[in-house]
Amino acid sequence: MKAACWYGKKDVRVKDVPEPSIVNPRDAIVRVTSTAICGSDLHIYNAYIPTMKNGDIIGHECMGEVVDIGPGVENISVGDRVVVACTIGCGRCQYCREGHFPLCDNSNPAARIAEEMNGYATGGLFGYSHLYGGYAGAQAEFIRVPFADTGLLRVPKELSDEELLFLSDIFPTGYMIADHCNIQPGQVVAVWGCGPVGQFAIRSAIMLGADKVIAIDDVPERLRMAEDGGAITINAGEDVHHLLKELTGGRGPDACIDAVGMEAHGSAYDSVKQAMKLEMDRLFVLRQVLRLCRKGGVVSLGGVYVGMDDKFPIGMAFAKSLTLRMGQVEVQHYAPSLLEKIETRQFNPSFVVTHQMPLKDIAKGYAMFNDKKDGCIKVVLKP
Amino acid sequence: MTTTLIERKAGAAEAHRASDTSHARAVFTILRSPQELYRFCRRVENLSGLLQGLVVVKETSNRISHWTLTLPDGDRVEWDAEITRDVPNEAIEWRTIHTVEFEHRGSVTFTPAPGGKGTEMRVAMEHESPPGGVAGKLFLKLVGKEPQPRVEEGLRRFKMVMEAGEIPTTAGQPCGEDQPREEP
Repeated sequence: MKAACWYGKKDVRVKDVPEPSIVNPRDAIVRVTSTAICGSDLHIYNAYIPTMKNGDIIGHECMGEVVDIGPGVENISVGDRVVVACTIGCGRCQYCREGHFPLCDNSNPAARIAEEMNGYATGGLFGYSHLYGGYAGAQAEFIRVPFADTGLLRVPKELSDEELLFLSDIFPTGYMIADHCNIQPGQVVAVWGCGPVGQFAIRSAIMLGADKVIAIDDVPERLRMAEDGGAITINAGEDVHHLLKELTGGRGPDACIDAVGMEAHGSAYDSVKQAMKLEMDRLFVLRQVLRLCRKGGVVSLGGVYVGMDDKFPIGMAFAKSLTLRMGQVEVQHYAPSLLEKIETRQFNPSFVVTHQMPLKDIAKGYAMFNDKKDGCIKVVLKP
Repeated sequence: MTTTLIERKAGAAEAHRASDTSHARAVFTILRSPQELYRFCRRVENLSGLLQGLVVVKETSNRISHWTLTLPDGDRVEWDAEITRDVPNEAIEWRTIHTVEFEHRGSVTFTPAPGGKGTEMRVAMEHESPPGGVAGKLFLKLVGKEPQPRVEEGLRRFKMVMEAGEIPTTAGQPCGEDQPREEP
């Protein structure tokens, strides 16, 4: 089959590789009908994610049709149309039962490495380095899905792939980071970063009852899409502090979402440090978010951070009694209710797609998305 | 490479034995009741396939079982284990008999975890220091210089089987390059 394989910085190649097969009883094999490039894939593309190996199949957003199942899978059948959750959870450990699927005790074959790094091992992810188990990813014609009875969401045939695909990651991600804000009536939410996750966070914050959502970015087409979603926008190049005060009567946003993450632009200091491997993440946006959040507010991280970083302004968070929320997306927890919103036509996630191309052209897709060329916000690929 | 028991015993006899025994402990909380975990472990044959490499366990009597471990390179280690203490739903202790290269004692305890979170399962093992010669080499292949990681990973695999019903793996999955296979 054809699969997108990682070979180093800005080096993604489509290779012919063997098709996956059932290994464990709870496995399924899915023929991928649509896959996508996630903003977090760019961290791999730009070689900021540790423990990647040459030839790893990448990608973690996909959907398709079940073509084979193991003997332990009872709630899914061959022929089912499914969305694949990007996070792998056994569904039966304490964490999974509480809905915290990315914290699964039992889904990471590299648990020992993860435990040495983080103290306790977290669960597996598709196509996201060997720290997360080294599972072959979603940018391929077929994917093996472990714990398929938990990780596959059956979806109706009447809806298009573009309406359903983003249940695999970015719609639940955007919704979770808005949910983490614990939005109360009358509250203002500010969202830094109007990439795909930011777009879903904006719309989710409105669904969850925010009085006002303010979106901050510096890419014109992304700001336009944020406005279409109901946000008031601020160009990141302007005096963001001043404008946020204006828009919130001087109080500041009640909750601030960082949907940018580790590759924030705007600080030469961080860029140099990250390039010299002195620091793993660029914290420019996170520092601004912490500074501009109101006293007693919530800061919710949706962009990915991977490292141990200094110049993290813990003093601001302490002084203002901020609550920090973060974590990998709990797809299996959020996706069923979000599917209901799509099925009942309350929400259509396909607005975010700007480009579609065959899987064989994925290298072009990565470059375009990474450089934000041609108005690129979200690339969907057809294997 | 296979060796006869006589060769192994000869190797062990020649060997210089350090005075220390090595200790290893592991603990995991498993979302099953002490009764379920105890019953599973007490039927010792259930433990086949759980350790690194391929283990086959045969119960020869109510208290004695015969263990055969085949290492990835084909070498085989065999030993008998005898249950020396058996407190239903709480603890099992054992020691090896008729073995040279894998002499050890061990215990496993099952304590209810607070808040209905299952069972705190603790394993403690004491290995005699590796013997010399062929037996010593086998011991090192089996448990390594430090038995601790093997005991921890063994109990982790046990938890995975008891909770998830299987051990997660990426064995045999496709990739664009011949990558070195990782040990399970």
